[in-house]
Amino acid sequence: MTAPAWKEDFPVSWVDDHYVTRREFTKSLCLVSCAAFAANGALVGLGALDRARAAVPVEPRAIPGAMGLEVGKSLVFEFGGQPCLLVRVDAERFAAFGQKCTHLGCPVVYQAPKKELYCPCHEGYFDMEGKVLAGPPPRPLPRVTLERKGEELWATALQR
Amino acid sequence: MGNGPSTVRSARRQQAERSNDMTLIHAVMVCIILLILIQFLLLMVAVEGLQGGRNAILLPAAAGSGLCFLASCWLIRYVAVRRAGRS
Repeated sequence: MTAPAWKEDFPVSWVDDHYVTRREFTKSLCLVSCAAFAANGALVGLGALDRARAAVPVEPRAIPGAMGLEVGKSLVFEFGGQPCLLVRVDAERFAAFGQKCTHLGCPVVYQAPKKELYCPCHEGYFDMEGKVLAGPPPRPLPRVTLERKGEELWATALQR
Repeated sequence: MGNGPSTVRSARRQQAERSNDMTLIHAVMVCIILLILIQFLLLMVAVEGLQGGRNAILLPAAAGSGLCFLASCWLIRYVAVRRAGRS
């Protein structure tokens, strides 16, 4: 049986062109392995950057709107390169923590009725000292040291 | 029986060698896939560690991933050298 005439214009077999040999497939697997190793290396670099950033001393700063905060309310402010949560526990007491949950970094929120900090991602709970009450977080929340200067509330240090 | 080595291999012997080669390549592919799965597991652990601020886990995870990658390369090289030696 002779080949049809159009075969002369399309000499390459589509099936053969897309055929992947076992050797090529195994080499591509090796490339995937290399990519996974490179990704792990990149994470090591990011971790080193984090450590370098944590080593830089943090400049104290005033927290805007802190003294006007109602009792039982909270506000988010930036300090030490990360979001922090300021809570007015009562008329005289304030507490501030790093807002990133120590489990996987989700932002925690303040629950006024229970006076707890709550991570909605994986049901983590922290008390007003930052200690873990329940859930998967492995470590307490970092505390922000507060100082009252006249009519302003200042964040002076971040305990990591 | 002749006195010197035979220069012509029998078809059956060639078929057996080819079958052994295919088995070896399939075994290497399975091993490499397993190593890649381990690497993805280590990558997942490293990402969770970085997100949770546990930086101490990053270097061991990267070292494990590197070992898996070296093992994959060694397996491929082993097959290539074996086939080159046979041909």
